[in-house]
Amino acid sequence: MQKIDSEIIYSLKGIVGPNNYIDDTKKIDPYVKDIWGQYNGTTPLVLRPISTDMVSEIVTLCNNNNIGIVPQGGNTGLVGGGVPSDSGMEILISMDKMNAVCDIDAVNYTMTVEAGCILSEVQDAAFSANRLFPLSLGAEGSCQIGGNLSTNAGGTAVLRYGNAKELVLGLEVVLPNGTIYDGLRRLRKDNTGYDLKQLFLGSEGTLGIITKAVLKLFPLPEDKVTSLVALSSLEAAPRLLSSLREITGDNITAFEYMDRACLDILETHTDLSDPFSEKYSHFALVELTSSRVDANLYDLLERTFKTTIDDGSVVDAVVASSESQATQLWKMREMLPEVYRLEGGGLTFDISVPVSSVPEFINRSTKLCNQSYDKGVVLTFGHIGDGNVHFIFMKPRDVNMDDFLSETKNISNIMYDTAAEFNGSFSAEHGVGVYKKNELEIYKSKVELSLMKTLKRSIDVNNIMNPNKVV
Amino acid sequence: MKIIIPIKRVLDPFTQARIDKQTQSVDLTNSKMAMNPFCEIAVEEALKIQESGHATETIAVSIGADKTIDTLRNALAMGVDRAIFVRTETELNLQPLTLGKILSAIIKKEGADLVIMGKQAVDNDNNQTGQMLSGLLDYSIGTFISKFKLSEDNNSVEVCREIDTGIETRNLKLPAIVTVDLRLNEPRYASLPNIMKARSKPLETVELSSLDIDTSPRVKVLGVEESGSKDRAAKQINSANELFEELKQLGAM
Ligand SMILES: Cc1cc2nc3c(=O)[nH]c(=O)nc-3n(C[C@H](O)[C@H](O)[C@H](O)COP(=O)(O)OP(=O)(O)OC[C@H]3O[C@@H](n4cnc5c(N)ncnc54)[C@H](O)[C@@H]3O)c2cc1C
Repeated sequence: MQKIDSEIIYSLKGIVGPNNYIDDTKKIDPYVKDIWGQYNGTTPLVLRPISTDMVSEIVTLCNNNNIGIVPQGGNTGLVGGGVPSDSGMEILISMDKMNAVCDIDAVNYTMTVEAGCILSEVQDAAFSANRLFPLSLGAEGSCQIGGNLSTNAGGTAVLRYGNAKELVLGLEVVLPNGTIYDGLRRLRKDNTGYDLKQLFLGSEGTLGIITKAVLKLFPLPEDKVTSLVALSSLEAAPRLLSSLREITGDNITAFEYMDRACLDILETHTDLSDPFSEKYSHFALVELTSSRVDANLYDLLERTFKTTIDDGSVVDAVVASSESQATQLWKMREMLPEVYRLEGGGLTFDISVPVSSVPEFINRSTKLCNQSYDKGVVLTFGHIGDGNVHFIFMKPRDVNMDDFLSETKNISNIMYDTAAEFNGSFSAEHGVGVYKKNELEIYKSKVELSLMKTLKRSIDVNNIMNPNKVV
Repeated sequence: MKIIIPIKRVLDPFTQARIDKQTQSVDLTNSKMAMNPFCEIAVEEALKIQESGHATETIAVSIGADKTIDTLRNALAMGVDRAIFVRTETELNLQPLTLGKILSAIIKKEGADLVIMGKQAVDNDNNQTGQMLSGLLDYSIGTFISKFKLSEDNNSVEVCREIDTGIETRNLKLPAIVTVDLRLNEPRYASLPNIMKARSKPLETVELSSLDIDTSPRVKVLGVEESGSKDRAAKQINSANELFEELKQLGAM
C-alpha cells in the first residue's frame, strides 16, 4: 500500500495542533467505517480543525502535495461518501469541532452556524430564539448541518419547507485550492450572477468543504395534529394527500407512508405496537402544523376524514391527543431504517417518482422483483408526499446474506430501470457517494455527466477533494 | 354506575413556559395547550372500566374559559359518553378548594359513585383537588394509584398506591375518588369512529356563576420566576472518580 510522506503528516499535525488530530489506528476506526458498517476504508490521519483558516491551510497543503481529502460530518451518510477509500492516500477532515452557532437574527429569520453543528443542536438553538429550523430526519441527533447541506438532505418536512438546499441563504466554503469562498450573505434576494452556493449543496464534499452556512428560519408551529391513518389501498395514499392539500391548504407538513410489513417488523423488534385493532395493510403518518394557535387543525383533519371515508380512501385512523402520543407515532416511522436491519436487512432503494405514480411504481417493481426472486419480502415506506419511496427487498430469514446477494443480482437493474420508466430518480435523497457511482454513469444523460465532470475538473484541478466519489 | 372524570386543560408540557413579568404569571396567550397527562390516564381507566361492563356511563367534566371545550372534545374522541363544561367568563386561575367545591356540586347533581382524576395537574403541581373533593363529598379516597380493581358487586375497589415506602394496597368502599399515577395504564389514541361520533355526543354547559360558589383565592402568589434550568444544565459523567472531582470543585465535598 502507498503511504503519505511522513513529513507531510507532520506538517498537517502542526497546522491543527496536538489536541486536534487522531493518528492512533484504533481511534481512527470509527471514522473509516460507515454507519451500517458496509464500507470500510483506511486513513493515516484524522484532522479536527477548529477554524476556517485551519481548514484552508490543510487544504492548501494537501493540494500542493496531491493528497486526497475526505470531508466528514456526523458520518451518518448512507452511500459511503464520507469515508476514505482503502488506498491509504487520503486524509480525513472531521468537522465536529467547528460546532458554534455564530449568530441568530430573529428579525431577519436567519441563523449563521459552523458546519460541524449537530442538526438537533441547530434546531434547539433556533427554538430558543422562538424560531423554527425545519430540517428534520431520523439521524438528527448525530448528523451535522455541513453533512446535511453536502448531501442536500430531505427528511420529514420537505413537503412544507423543502429540502436542505432550500433552507440556505449563504455559505462559506474552502475550495480545493485552499482559498476561502465567503458567501455568508443573509439576503433573500441577490441576483448578481451565478448562484455559486448551489454548486456545493448536494455535491457531497467533492467541490469543497463547507465551513459555515446562513440558514433560513421560520415561525414556530404553535398548533399541530399528528395522525396515523389506515388506508384502503396503496392507491388511496395520493388521494388522501390531495384531499389534505385541498382542505388544509399549506398546513400539511408531513405525509409518510408505511406498509403492513413495516408494522410487523416494528412489533417484532421494538415495544411499539400497532394502534389498530384490525390488521390493515397501508398506513399514512400525517402531520399538520400551523404557526397560528387558532388554526383549528383538528377540525380540518376531521373534515378531511369525512371526505376520504366517503370516497373510500380512509378506513380507520388514530389521532395523537398529546405530544407523547405524537412522539410514539413518529417513532414508528423513524425506527424503520434500524429495524429492517435487525430483521436481517436486504437490498435498499431510495427512489423518487412523481407523487401520482407512486402506487403504480411500487406495484410494478414489487411484481418484477418477486418474479426474479420469489422468496423476498418487499417492505416499503418513505416520504411519499415528496414522491420518495424507500423500497427494501428483504432477505428471507432462512437464507444467508451471500447466497441472497448472489441470487438477487438482477434486482438493482429491475428497480432502477423501473424508476427510469416513470421518469424517476435512482437516488432521491441519499446521494451518490461511492455506492451509486455506477448508476450515475448509466442513468444520467451524456450531457449531464459531461457537465458534472467539467465542473469537477475546473474547480478541483488536482482531484484531491473527496476523490472518486460521485463523478 | 356512573363515572365522573374531572379533566384539566394545561400548558402543553412539551412546550416552554413563558413568564409574563407584568402579571407575574405564566403567559398562556398563544401557547399550545393540552389535556393534563394524568387526566388522560384517568380517562383511559374510566373507559377500561366501562368496557369491562362495570360502568354504565362515563362523563368528563372540565372548568375554564371557552377554549376548554377543545379538551372536552378530546376526551369525547377518546371515547367518554358525554361532557360537562363549567364555563368561566375569563381564564381564572382557580385554586384546589374552589375546584373541589365546583366539582362536588356537579358530582352531587349527577349522583356519580366513582370519580377518577389525575393525582395532580402538571401546571401548578398542587396535588390537592382530589383530596379536598373527597373531604367535601365525604367519599373514600385512594391517591397515587397504579392498580385499580372493582369488586364484582361494584361496592368496593382494591387499589395499589405508589407511596414513598413502596406500594400500598387498600380496599375502598364506594362512593370513592381515586387519583391516578403514571404507571396505571397507557392512554389510548383518539380513534376515527370516536372522533366522528364526538361531535354528536352531549356537551352540557354550566355557567360557573350559576353555581353560587365563592371563587376568591385563599392563597396569594407572591411572584413567578423562570426556573433557571440553564445554570443547572445536566452534565454527563463517565466515572465515579470524575463525579468526586466535580463535587469537590463545586465545594460539595
Ligand atoms: C437513521 C438515518 C436516517 C436518515 N434519514 C434521512 C432522511 O430522512 N433524509 C435524508 O436525506 N437523508 C437521511 N439519512 C442520510 C443523510 O444523508 C445523512 O443522515 C445526513 O444528511 C448526512 O450528514 P452527516 O453529517 O452525517 O454527513 P456524513 O455522512 O459525514 O457525510 C455525508 C457526505 O457529505 C460530505 N460532507 C460532510 N460534511 C461536509 C462538509 N462540512 N463540507 C463538505 N462536505 C461534507 C461527506 O464527504 C459525504 O460525502 C439518514 C441516515 C440515517 C442513518
